[in-house]
Amino acid sequence: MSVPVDYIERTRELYAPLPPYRWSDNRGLPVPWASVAKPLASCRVALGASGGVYVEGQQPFHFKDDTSLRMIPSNVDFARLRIAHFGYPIGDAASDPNCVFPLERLREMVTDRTIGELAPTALTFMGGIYSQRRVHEELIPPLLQQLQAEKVELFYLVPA
Amino acid sequence: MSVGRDITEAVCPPRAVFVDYPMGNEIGRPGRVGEQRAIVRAAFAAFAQITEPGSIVDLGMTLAAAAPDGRDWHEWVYTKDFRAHFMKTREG
Repeated sequence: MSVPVDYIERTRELYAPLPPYRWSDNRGLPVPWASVAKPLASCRVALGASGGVYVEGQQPFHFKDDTSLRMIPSNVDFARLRIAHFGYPIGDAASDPNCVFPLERLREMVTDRTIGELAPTALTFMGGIYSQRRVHEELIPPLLQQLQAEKVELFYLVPA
Repeated sequence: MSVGRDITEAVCPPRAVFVDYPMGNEIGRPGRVGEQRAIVRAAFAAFAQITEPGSIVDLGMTLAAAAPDGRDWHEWVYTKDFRAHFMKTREG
């Protein structure tokens, strides 16, 4: 098996003239935890993805530090999905959004009862936000509010 | 999901699964439905098994693929060559 890429070190080398980026580091802190009280087959699942997915007609994400959220109906027509993100090569995701937004795979898992149901809304944002403060203050509150409003029991996060 | 194991180890999410795929292919390659299905289903199976907060389960899935310059993608991503290629393709 190959060795995982050391992204923190690579990024430091790539932007060497700049001061090192301060990555989020929660090591040594208590890890938040919620027990799963029931089987997956009866859980309400929401998909969350930071790959810059939006629906045709919605405002595309702008590059860098865009902390806005897009609400995507879980029954969306996949042909209407678009990608805007500056931080990863988006070609594969543009041709098949499941690469970063596996909603079609989750729908299959509802059909065969691996999971209970999908929440009405999937939540997407654009992962290239350099400010941890802005993530906490601007992105997370509306995201949490939406998850609570739709009584989500399992939030499946796919980063990009 | 995690494809950046070192970043996830620092963030310490409650439950995580790692696949050794490039960023932008967290759930595999376009049109490879079987591959995508295997990743998502393995993630949910791991979710049901994790009891230790902060666990990262390695799903044991590695993409064997070459970068545009012929090297293994692991050696290429987020290097200067990667950035040059990336900027060029972004500008079309």
